[in-house]
Amino acid sequence: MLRKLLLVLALAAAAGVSGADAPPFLVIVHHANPIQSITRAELSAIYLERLRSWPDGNEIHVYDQSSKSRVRAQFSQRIHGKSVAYVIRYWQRLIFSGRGVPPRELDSSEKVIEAVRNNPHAIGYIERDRIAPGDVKVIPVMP
Amino acid sequence: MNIARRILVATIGVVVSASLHAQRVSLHGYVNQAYAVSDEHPIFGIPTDGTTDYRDLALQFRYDQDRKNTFVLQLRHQRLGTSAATPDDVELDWAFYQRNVSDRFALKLGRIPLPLGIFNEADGAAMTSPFFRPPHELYDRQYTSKTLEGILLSSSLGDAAGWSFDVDGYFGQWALDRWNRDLELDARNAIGAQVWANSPLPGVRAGAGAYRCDVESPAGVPNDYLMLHASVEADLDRWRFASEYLRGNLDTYGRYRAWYVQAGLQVTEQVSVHARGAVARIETPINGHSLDAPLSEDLAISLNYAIHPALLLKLEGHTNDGLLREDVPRNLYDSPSRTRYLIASVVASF
Repeated sequence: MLRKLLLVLALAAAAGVSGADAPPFLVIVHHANPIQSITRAELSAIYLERLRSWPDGNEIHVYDQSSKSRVRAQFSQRIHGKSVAYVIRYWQRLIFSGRGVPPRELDSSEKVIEAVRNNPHAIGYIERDRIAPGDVKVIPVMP
Repeated sequence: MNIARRILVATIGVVVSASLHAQRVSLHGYVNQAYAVSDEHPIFGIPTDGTTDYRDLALQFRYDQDRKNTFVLQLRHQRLGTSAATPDDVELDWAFYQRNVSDRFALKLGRIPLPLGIFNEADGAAMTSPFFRPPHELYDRQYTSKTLEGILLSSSLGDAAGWSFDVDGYFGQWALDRWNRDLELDARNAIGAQVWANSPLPGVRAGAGAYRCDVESPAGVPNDYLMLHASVEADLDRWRFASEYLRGNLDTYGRYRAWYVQAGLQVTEQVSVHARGAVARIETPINGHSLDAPLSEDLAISLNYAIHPALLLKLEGHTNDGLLREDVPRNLYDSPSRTRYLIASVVASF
């Protein structure tokens, strides 16, 4: 129990946030990804497909959560500053302009963890209370 | 048509073979089904006794072979009531190959959505417009086209946090509708560009563009069309605003101008209300003088109800003053007449 509590505190510290400002989600990448942090603007650009490559040139593989999930709504508000409905409108316009398709949606944090664990170029986000196993890396989101 | 069918068959072949790599294939589509009725005159294919033969469907196949190569095909079926402008069967809407030269630079080749303003590429697809269709006045297919047969170069400039710019340049041809709707005119040697400036405030952007093309005429001498357009859009989540202006120099046919303003408010998570005013005028030389005819002035309100993020009900009412009535041949000397029409539609997408 104590170990679990310490792990939660360590993850909160890694996310660079504490107390009331802590977002209710954690951003995760593959353990081998050298990235140490990400800005909110970069994260938004990645999830809106305006930023497609990691600094080393590899393609970013983006995993999103279900549009009906609470964590997706929280992520949209915190990172894009917009509702999920806005993001869906954004993607519909891109889809039906032939300009792009949205990130793949997975219907649970466990599936996002699994996908990121198996893909060195992946990024995802999970609910804060789902403790990420050691082979994915939690990265802090900077303002 | 034969060429289009061959492209269709070839692209279906590519998509079917690509299905072996299902994770790289994405399938999207929408169904937009409406009931529409007008009062005094039929307009936009809407008869005075109402019709449910009013719909727009599309199915899109996309195959991302790898990071650099993408094939996209979209099939579309459109019925607009009594309008002769829409065919009965399924049409090849797009079929193009995209080469991503880098993250910021792409090339498209084939039958491609034409980048023109806010709504041209997506048209009335799915949830992209709070009305059944974007303003006809600006996207009138007698002056503009939804697609381009040719080549399109796209580039994105700027950074993630500040201003960014999306630039498109294109060359090719397309078909235009004629007034009497029984014949198409071809626009050839079209060359154009569009620039969008995306502000650091998400959802707020402004754009402008221009194209010129040679439009064949019944007399055989092509007319040189020069079209200029400008747009501003702010999707602030709760508030939505869009306005565009189009001005066309149609050579011997005169000058075409269209503009609109559209605003909307998200009242609750599911309900939004929208209003739109759109104007189109044509100035044409007749018998040695210039006639400025009011083609259309359309005022509309729309109530949207989102049952689900991918399922939307729209109820809209329009009052149109102009010359677009379809029960009499169009005559620019006529006085404008008033027609009210209503469209109730349901749109689902995936």
